[in-house]
Amino acid sequence: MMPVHAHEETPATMDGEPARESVIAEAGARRLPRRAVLRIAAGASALVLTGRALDIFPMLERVAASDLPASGSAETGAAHQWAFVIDLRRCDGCGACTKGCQKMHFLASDQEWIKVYPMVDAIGGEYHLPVLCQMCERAPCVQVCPVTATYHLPDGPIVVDQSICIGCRMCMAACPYGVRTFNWRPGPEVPSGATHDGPLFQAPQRLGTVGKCDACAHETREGRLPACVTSCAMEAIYLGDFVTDMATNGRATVGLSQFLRENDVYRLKEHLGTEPRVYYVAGHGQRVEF
Amino acid sequence: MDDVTAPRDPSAAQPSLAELAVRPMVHAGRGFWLVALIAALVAGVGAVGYAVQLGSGLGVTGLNDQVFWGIYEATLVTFIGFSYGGALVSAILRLVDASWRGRVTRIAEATALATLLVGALFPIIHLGRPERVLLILFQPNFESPIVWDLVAIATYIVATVILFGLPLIADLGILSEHPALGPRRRRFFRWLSFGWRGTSGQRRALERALTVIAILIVPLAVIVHTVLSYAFSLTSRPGWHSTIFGPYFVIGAVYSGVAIVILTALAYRRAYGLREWIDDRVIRNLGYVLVALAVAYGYVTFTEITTQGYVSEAADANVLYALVFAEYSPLFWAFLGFGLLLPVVVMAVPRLRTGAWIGLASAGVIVAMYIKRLLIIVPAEAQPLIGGATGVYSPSWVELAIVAGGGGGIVLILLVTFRLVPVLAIHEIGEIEGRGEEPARSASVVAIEVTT
Amino acid sequence: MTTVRPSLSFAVALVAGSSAALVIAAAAHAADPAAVQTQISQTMVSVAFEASSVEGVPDYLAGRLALVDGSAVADQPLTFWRSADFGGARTIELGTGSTDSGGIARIPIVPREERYRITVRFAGTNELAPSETVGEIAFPPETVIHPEHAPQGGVIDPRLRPLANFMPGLVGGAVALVWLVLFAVTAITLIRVMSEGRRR
Repeated sequence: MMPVHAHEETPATMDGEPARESVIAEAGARRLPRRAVLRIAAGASALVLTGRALDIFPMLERVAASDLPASGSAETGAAHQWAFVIDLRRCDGCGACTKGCQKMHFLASDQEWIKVYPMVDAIGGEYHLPVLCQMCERAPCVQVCPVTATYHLPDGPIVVDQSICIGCRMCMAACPYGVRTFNWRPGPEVPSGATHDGPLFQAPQRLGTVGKCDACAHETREGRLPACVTSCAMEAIYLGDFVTDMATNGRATVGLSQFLRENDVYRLKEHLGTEPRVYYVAGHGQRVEF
Repeated sequence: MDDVTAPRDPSAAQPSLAELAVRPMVHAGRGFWLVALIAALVAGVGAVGYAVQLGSGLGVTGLNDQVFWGIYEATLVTFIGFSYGGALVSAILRLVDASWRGRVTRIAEATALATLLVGALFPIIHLGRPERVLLILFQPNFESPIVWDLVAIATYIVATVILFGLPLIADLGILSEHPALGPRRRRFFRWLSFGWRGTSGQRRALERALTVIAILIVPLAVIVHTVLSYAFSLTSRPGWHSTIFGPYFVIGAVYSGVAIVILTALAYRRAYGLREWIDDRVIRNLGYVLVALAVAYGYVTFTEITTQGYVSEAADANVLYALVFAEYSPLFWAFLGFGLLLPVVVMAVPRLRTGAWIGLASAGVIVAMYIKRLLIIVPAEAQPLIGGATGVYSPSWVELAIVAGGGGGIVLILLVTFRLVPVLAIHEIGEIEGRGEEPARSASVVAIEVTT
Repeated sequence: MTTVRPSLSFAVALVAGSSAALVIAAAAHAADPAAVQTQISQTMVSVAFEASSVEGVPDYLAGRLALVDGSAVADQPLTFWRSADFGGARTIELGTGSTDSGGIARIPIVPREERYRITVRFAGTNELAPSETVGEIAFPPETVIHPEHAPQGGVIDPRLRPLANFMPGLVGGAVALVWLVLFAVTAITLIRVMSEGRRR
C-alpha cells in the first residue's frame, strides 16, 4: 500500500525551492574553502605519517645506495659479464644441480630455482634440459616490476630485492621461461651464522616475495663458482664470462667464444628477443668426452 | 525566479516520485535487516579469511608457482567490470539521450561506486606484501602495467564519485524539504546540497558538468579495463599475448555491468514497490542492451578462438583444447549457455521478456562472466612454458571466503547507500521526462487516477 | 837392440785409449741413450703479437722456436695457452700451430681483453729439448673486441625506443589533463550552484 502523508503539504517538486534559502546558501558558501583546505592537509599528513609508519623512507635510501645497474652501453665497467653454458651432451637429468642450489640458498624442497625438464627432441628422443634464470639482457621481468624490486646487476645477473618486492607476481607472469618462484610459506630454518640479507643473497627467503636464481652473484663476486656448476657430477654446467672470454665447469676451462662457436649452441625462445645469457649445447646425455 | 514550469504531482493519494525515492531511506523492514545481516556475516567471514591470509601468507590459498594468479584476479576484473554498468547507464545513455535512463541512473551509479570501491581492494588483497603497496607511489616503474592500473583505477574512482555525487546534490536539495525525513537529516542535506534550489542557472550548470563528465568517463572506462587487460596481454604467454584482450575486457565489463544494474534495479523495485518507475519497459530496454552486448562479447570470444585454433601453435592449441574439450570444458560450455545464449533467448521470445526472466538471465550473465574471467586467467598459466606437468589450481576456503566477502561488502555498501541517498534520481527524472509535462508513469497508475 | 818386449808404455797407452773410448762412449750414452751418435739441442721459444696485414684476416699470436744460437727450428708444433684468474687460476688452450721455415707458428687470435698472460710451449723431440715461455702480451687497443653484452632492462627493441620514450609524456599529459578537467568541472559546477543558491 502506498503511504499517504497526513499533512497537506506541497511535496518536494522538481525544482525544490526550500524556504530560508539565504541562510542555506550562506552556510554552504562559508564552509567550502575551509573544508577543502582541511581535507587536503589531512590527506597529505596521512600520507606522510603512513610512510613513516611503514618505514618506507629508509628503504628509499637503501635502494639508492644499492647495486643498481648501469644502463645501455657495453661499457658497464663491470669486471665480468656472466653467462652460462649447459652441455646437454653431458646432462643425465640427475637433478644434483637443483639440490645443490636448494642447499646453497636454504630453499624448501618444492622450490626449484633450476629445474631439470625431461624433454623430447625433434625425432622423439629424450633429453634433459636444465632451466635456470636466463639472465636475459632484455628481460621482461625487469620491465614489468611496478616498484623496481627486480633489476640487473652490472655484471648481468638479475636479482630480486625482497625488502621492496610487494609480491604482485607480475614478473612471474612476464617471465617466458617460468624460472621465478614465490615464497608462499615461510622457508626452512637458516642456521644463525648463515643468514644473509640483501638482493645478492637472501637467506632465509622472505615470505610473500618472489625468489629466483641469482646466478650465485654472492659466490662469483668472491671468485667462487655457482652452486649448480659445482654440484653437477657430469660437469655439464659452465660459468662463462664475456669479458675474459673464458668458461669453466670447475674442472675444464675453455675459451667461451670459441666453445660457443664450435659447438653450435642455441638459446631458449630466441624469437622473443630477450637475449638470454644461457647457451645450450645440443645433445642427449651421450657423455661426449673432450 | 526561474522560468521552467514545475511538474506537479496531481494526486496526493499517489506517492510522488520523491516519496518513493526516499522509502528505503526511512523504512527498513525485516527483509532489509535479513539481507543486511547475511551480507554482514559473509563480509565478516571474508574479513576473517583475510586475517588468516595476512597472518600465514599466501600459502593459505590454492595458488602455486605455476598458477600464481587465480580467483582474486578474476574477482578484481569482475568487480571493476561491474562498475561499467554505471558508466553505460549514466554516461553512454545520457550521450545518446535515452529517455528511460533516468529511472535507473541512481542505482547504476551507486552500484558502480560500490563495486568499484570493493573491486579496487582486490589488487591489494592479492599482494604478498600488502603493507608495501604505497611503494608503487614512491618508486614507480612507469613501464609496468601495474603502475598504469593504479593510475587508471584511481582516476576512474574519482570520475565515478563525481558522476554519482553531482546529480545527488540536486536530489539532496529537493529532499531537504521532504517531510518524511527528520530535521537533522534535512539540515544535513541542505548543507550538502551546496544551496541547490533548482534555479535554471543551477540546472544548466549541472547539466553541462554531467555532459562533460559523461564524455570523459567513456574513454576513461575503456582505458581502465584495457589497462587491466595489459597485465595479461603484455606478456609473451600463449593464451594471454593476444591483441583482442583490450576489447575483450572492456566489452565484458560493460556486459556484466549492465547485468548487475538490472539485478539491483529489480531488487529495489521489488523491495520498495518502485514498479511505477522501474517498470517493465525500463527493464526490457536494459535487457535489449544486454543482448547487444552478449552479441558483441560472443563476437570477440569467437574471434579469439578462431585465431588461436586455426594457426594451432602448439601452446595455443593446448590451451584451447583444454578449454573447449578437456578439463575446463564444463565451465566453458556453461559460460556459453548462461552467458551468451540465455540472454539472447530470453529477449528473443516475447513471453520471456519479463522482469523475472530478464533477472534470471542477468544472474546467469554475472556467474558466466565470472567463470569466463577465470577461464581467461587459469588455463594459460597452467600450460607449461618449457616442459614439465600442466599446472593445477583449486581455490582454498580463504580465497572463496574473501571473494564472497567482497560480494557481501558490495551488498552492504548498496544497502547503506540507499539508506542515505534516494534510490531514484528525482531531479534527473524530472529533467529528462518532466520538463513542462508530467513525468511518464505506468498506464495502470494513470488509469487509477482517472477513475478516482 | 831390436827385441821389443811388451812395454809398460804400450800397456798404459792401451788402457788410456780404451778408457777414453769408454768415457766418450759413456758420455755419448749419457747424452742420448738411444742413439749413440745424436746430440740434444737446447731450444728457446718467444712469442709476440702479429697484426694481420690483410683486411678481414684475423690477427695472430706468433711463437718462434729457435735453437740457442738463434737459428730457426721448422716443422715443430707449438702450443699456445692462456692463463687468467677466473674463480681461481685457470688455463685454457688457445691452439696449436706448426712452425714454418722461419721457426714461426701462428694461431689466429681475437683478443677480448687488453692483456693476456700467454704461455707458449714446445713439447720437445728426441733431438730437441722442450722449452716454453710465459709472458704478458699487450694487444693494440684497436684489435681488442669488447663484446656487446650489457644488461638493458626491458625487452623493447632498441629501435623502437624513440616511440617508447615518447609515450610517458603523452600518457602522463593525458592523465594530468583528465584529472584537471574532472576537478575543474566539479569545482566550477559547485561554485555556480552555490552562487545561484545564494543570490536571492
